[in-house]
Amino acid sequence: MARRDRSTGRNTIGDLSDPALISTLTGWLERSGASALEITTPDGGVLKIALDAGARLEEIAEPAPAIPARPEGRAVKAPMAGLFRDRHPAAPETGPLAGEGRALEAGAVVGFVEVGPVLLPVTAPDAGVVGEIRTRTGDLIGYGDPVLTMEPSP
Amino acid sequence: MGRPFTSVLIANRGEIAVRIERACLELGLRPVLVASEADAAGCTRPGAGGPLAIGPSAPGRSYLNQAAILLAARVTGAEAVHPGYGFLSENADFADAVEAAGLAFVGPPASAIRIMGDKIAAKRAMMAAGVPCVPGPGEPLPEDAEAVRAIAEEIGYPVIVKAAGGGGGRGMRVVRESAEVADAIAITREEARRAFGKPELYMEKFLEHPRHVEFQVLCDIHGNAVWVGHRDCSVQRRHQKVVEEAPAPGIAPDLAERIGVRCAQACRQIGYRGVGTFEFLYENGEFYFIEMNTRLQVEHPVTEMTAGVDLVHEQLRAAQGAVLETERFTGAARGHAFECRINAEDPTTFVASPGRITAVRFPSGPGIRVDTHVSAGYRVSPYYDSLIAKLIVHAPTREDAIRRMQVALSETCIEGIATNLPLHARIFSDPDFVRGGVDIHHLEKRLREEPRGEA
Repeated sequence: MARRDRSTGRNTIGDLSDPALISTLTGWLERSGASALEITTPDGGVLKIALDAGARLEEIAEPAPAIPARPEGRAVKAPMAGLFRDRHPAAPETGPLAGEGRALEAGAVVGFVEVGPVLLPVTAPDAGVVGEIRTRTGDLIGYGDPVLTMEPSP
Repeated sequence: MGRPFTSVLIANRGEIAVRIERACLELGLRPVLVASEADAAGCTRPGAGGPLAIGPSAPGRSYLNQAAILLAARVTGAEAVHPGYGFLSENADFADAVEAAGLAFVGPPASAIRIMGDKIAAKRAMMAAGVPCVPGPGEPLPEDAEAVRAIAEEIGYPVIVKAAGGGGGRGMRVVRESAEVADAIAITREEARRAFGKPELYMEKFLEHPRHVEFQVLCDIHGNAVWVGHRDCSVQRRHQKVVEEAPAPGIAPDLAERIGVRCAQACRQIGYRGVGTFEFLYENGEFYFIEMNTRLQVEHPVTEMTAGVDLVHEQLRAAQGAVLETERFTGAARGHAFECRINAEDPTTFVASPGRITAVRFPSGPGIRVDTHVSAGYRVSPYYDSLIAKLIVHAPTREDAIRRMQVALSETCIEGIATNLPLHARIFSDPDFVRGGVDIHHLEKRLREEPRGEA
């Protein structure tokens, strides 16, 4: 599995096809309640793991938050604690995924939360227009912290 | 094994997270606080630097979520994890996972947690170290009811059937005669299977009127182990400790020394590290081992006050591989200390009382210590344990300490929620308690006799 290099503090990662690594990460994924994760390495390697749709659903299921009837902005929240990335680290040349005023479909990826080799997408729960950006790329954010707000589509 | 580190993730909440954070700062270590969403939102600390939210309010998805804690350690650069008490503190798999992630676990090796988590293995380890145990075989009970009955006859009724995976008063049943054996075994085995995932049971002599007396130990990774004092935690309600004191009153010093030395010996034999507690029943001048807690305990401050030691400092130093200065510890107590656990609960019905604390005043002065995370405006969450503060007093004699606690309790004021402060006032005016040495049933008996405290 990924080891922390003590002398430099940088993360180094071994062979992404290593079954032990994949099984460790899948375990983390299951226990963290997420359904998929994506891993990238500095040299651009990518590993995606998606859990079987039916797996551990009872444990993962959260009571759906009541959608406020008010029309003003709704926060898109971080799915876990980590460093916020406004774009995929493997594609730094693309702009931020969610600029203010941009119209997004439901399920659109607005950014990522990164912890070491783990990269979890932050997705818009429903269609709308990006209101205020609350988090800058590289910020340490906690579970449930608002990343940005969304306004209903006009 | 022990290695230097400079930052510690505190995988807990409430007063113990504050306590550990303070110890880290005193030792020049960077504390990293994590919290559930509810606790992070309720944090009254001004400015930034509050805890990092790692999951939803339900403990299973935050304070018990191993992956979330390990990921938080990684993203914050923490090099060690202190589990506090409760939650993951006695989870051997978590201790393994922390070490496997390249971090130091501030606690014993996973192997020691595993032995002590299995009450039958623990009892065997204690017998091997010459620690006196409750009469009864250190082996799992057979399936056959006749064979079990034979074991019970040999021990002599009443006996108690306990789950090997249990502890802390859960998963046990008293059997007073032969006719009850078969049912008691069947019910307890089923409970054990469901609650602990392990149906194994064992049987011991049931002591009718014991006190709960426990020994604090401290170990390094170099084979040094000492006992640092004993505590009496007999004032309990439903197996939950309410008031603790150190030293346990009326224990002959040479007997305490003999037991304490054997506890330290047992630690060396199982390769223990850090702080730990051996819990005993004490009846008619004899000690009987019941279980070991492989973590820091809620009531550790009464030992700190009377032994002149900071147990959290020692725990962190041991995890870093420091050599324990054994000559500092003799097991002797200086003066006497009491601790009252102040819970957010109704003092007569014991129903939890979550809500916002509107005003709070804690006592101060010589020999007074308050360990707490609450202040005015704090919202007591319904998701977690109701402990909101520990009031600890220290004085030269037990009589002085009782008087000091009585005054300290009268100066304590918490508004907006119900607390058990009136219960503590009752306990400290109970003539039997004031005399010292009440058994573990005393408080419940008092509560039955005088449910509303009109006395």
